[in-house]
Amino acid sequence: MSEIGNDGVISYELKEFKLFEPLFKWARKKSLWIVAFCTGCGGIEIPPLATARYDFERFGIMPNPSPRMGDLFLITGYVTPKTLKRIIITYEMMQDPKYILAHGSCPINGGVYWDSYNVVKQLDRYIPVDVAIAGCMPRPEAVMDGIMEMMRRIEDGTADGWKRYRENYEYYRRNQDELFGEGWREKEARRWLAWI
Amino acid sequence: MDMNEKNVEEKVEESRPELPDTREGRLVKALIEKAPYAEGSVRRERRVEFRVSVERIHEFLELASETFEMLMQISVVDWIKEGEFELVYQLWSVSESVHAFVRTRIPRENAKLPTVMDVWPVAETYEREAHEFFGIIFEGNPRLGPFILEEREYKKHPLRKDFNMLGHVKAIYGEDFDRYDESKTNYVI
Amino acid sequence: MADLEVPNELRREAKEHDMYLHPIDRDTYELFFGPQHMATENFSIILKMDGNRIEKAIVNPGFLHRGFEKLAEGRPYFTNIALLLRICVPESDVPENIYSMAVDEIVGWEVPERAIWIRTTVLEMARVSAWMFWIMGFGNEIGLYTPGQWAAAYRERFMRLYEELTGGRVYHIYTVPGGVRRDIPGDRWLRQLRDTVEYVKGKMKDFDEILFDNYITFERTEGVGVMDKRFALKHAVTGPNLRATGVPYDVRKDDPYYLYDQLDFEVPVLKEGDSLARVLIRRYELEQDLYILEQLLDMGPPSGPYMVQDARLKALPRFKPPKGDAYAHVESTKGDFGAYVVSDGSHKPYRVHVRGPSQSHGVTVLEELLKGARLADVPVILKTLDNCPPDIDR
Repeated sequence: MSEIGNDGVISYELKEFKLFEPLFKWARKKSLWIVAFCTGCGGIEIPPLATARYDFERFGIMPNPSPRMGDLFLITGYVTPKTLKRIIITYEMMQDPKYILAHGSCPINGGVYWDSYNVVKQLDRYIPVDVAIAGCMPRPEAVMDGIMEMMRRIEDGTADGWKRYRENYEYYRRNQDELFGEGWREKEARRWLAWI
Repeated sequence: MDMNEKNVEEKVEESRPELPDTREGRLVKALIEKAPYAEGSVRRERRVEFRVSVERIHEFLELASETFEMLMQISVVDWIKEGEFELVYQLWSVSESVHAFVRTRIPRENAKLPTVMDVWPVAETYEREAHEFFGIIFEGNPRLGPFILEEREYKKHPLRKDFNMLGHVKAIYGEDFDRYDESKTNYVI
Repeated sequence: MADLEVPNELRREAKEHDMYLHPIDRDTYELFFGPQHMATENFSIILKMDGNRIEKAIVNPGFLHRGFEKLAEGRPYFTNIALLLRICVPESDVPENIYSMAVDEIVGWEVPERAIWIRTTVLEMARVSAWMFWIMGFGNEIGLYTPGQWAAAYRERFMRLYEELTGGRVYHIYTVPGGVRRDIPGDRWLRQLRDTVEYVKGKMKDFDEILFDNYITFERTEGVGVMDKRFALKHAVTGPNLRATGVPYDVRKDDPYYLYDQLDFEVPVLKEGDSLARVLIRRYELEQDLYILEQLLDMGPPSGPYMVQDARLKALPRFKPPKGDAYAHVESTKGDFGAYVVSDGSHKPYRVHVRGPSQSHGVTVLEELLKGARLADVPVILKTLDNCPPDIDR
C-alpha cells in the first residue's frame, strides 16, 4: 500500500483511490473493530460498554478476537514488560490503518504504579498512542468520549499513529530493545508465532 | 552464639505453656504432645501459632497435615536487621475450623528449606513464588525458576528488603521515571 | 494431515533460525493459549496437544504483576487501601476488607456496629455483582450470549448503587481500617438497594431457563474437569470449587467475621466435583447472597458512628499501629481470600502478603484438570474454576 514518491515522502494511499479518500475515512471511522486483548484492569469496563447500558455497537464498534481484523487496539490499563511484548507483536500483526486508544492513567505515566519495578511508565515510547484517556478507572462515558475523539481524528487524518510507527520504526525498535534486551523477538516471540 | 541465645529464649517461652481449655487449646496440646520439639500457643479464637526450628519443619508439617488439611499460603517476612527470613506456613483445618501459623526462621544467606510438596502438592506454587521473590531454595521442588517475573527482575528477588526499587526503576526507565512538581521546577524524585 | 511431510529444506532452515516449526506431519504440537484470549483474562497456558487432546498444560502467569507487596511496604497504612484493592478487579471490596480487618486486629480496634453493617452489605453487593460478571463470562464461553447481556445490565444497577455510596464504579476505596470512609447517603439508597435485590431475585427464573437449566450448559460441562474431595483439599482449593466436591467449607460459616454469625443462610454443597457442579453451586450461592442482602436490609443499619473514634486518626499519614501481625480472610466468589499483615511499629506496613484463591486453583489444579481435556473444554474449565489471574500475579 505504501510507496515512496519523488519527494521522498511515503504515501500510504494508492494514487488511483485518492478521490475516494474521504469515503474511506468515513468508512474506517464507522466500523472500528476492537482487538479483544484486555491488558489490565480496565478490561472490566469493556463488558458494560459492550452490553446494554453503554452499548457501543451502535457506533459500529465490535470486539473481535483476531488482530488481523482489528482496527482499534484498546490498551486497558497498566502494561507490564511481559504484556508489552505481546502487545507489540499483536500491534504489528494488525493491518494498517490501526489505532491505539490508551485507557487510564497507567499507560500515560505509570499512574498508581509510578514506582513499581514491573510497570511500563510511558507507553508512547514503545508503540504510538493516538488517544489517551486519563483516570483510574475511566468511566465508560470517558471511554466513549475517547472513542468519539478517535473517530474525529480518523476523519481529519490526525490519528496517524500507524504512520508514525512506520516512519520512526528505528526509534520505537530501539526503545523496545532497550527495555527487553537485544534479540527478544528471535528468542521469545518466535516461539509463540513461528512466522515472525 | 545467636543460636544459644535463641534457645534460651525458646526455653523461656516453653516454660509458660498455659494453654486454655478451649477447642484451640486442646488441639495445640494434642499436637505438641506428638511433636515436643515445637512450641505452640493460642492467639485468639480460631487462631493458633506454632514455632518450629527449620531442621524439623517438614516433620512437623507432615504431622500437622493430619489436622490441618489445607495449606493456604507460605508467607515470607524478610527481617533484614536480624539477618533472617521468617517463613509462616498458613494452615487451615476444615474439620476444626482453626487457622494455624507455623513459623520458622532461616538465615538470609543461602536460605534453604525442604519442600512440602509431598504433603500438600499446592505448596509447589507457593514455593515457586517464595523462591522467585526472596531467593529461598526449596530442596526437592523441581520447578523453581522464573514464574511470574521475567529473567531480569527474577535475578534481583524484588521483595527482599535490600532490593532498591526506585534505583532499579530509574535504571530501567530512565527519564520516564523522573517526577517534577506541577510547575516543572522542583525535582521530586 | 498426518500424511503431509515437511520438506527437508524447510526443516533445516527452521532449525538454523531457531524457529519453532508447526509440525504438520505429527499430531502433537504446542499451542499458546492466551493472553490474547477473552477466557484467560491476561493469563497464558502453554498446551502440549495431541490432536484435540491436551497432553500437558503449563501455566504461565505474570502478565499482571505489579509488585503490590513491595509497593505496599513503601506507602502509609491508609494510602495502601487505594493500592491493594486493585488486586481483585471484579470484586475490589474484598482486598480492602481483608487488609482493613487485619489492621483492625493489629491495632485492636472495635469497629462500630454501623460500619460493620455497611461492610457486610458492601461485601455481599460485591459478591452479587461478581456473580453477574461470572455469569456473563461463563455464558460467553459456552456460546450463550443472552444471559451475559442481561447479567451485565443487572450488574450496572449495583454499580450505580456503589457509585452513590462510594463515588466509584469499579474501585471504591471505601472500607478503611477502623470503619468506612463515608456514611450511607440516606434511606433512599437503602430503598434502591432493596428494589435492586427484589429485581434481580425476580430475574433468577430467567437465568435458570436460559443458562442453568439449559441443554447446552449440561452438554458442555457435565463430567468435564472432575476433581475429588481429597485432591481438592490437598491442593487447597477453596470457595465454590471446593464445595462442589462435597466439603462444606465457607469462611462466612467456619470463621465468621462481621455479621455473618447472626445471619441465616445455607452453604450449598454438591458431590460431583465436575464443571456442572461448580456452575450449579454458583447459582445457589447467588440466591443465598440475595437472601443475605434481604436479611441485612430487614435488620437495617444500626445507628452510631461509621468510623472508630481514635485520636490517632487525626494525623493519618503518620498513623502508627503497634507491633504485631494478623491474618484475616473473607469468602469471595473465587474462594478464600486472605491477607497477612506484619507491622513493625512504623507508619508503613512491614509486610503485606495476600493469598488469592486463584493461587491454588489457578496453577497446579488447572494443570491437572487440563490433562486429557479437549481443546474446547479449556475455556469451560477456566471459567468454572473462576480463575482470576491478578490473584496469582499481584
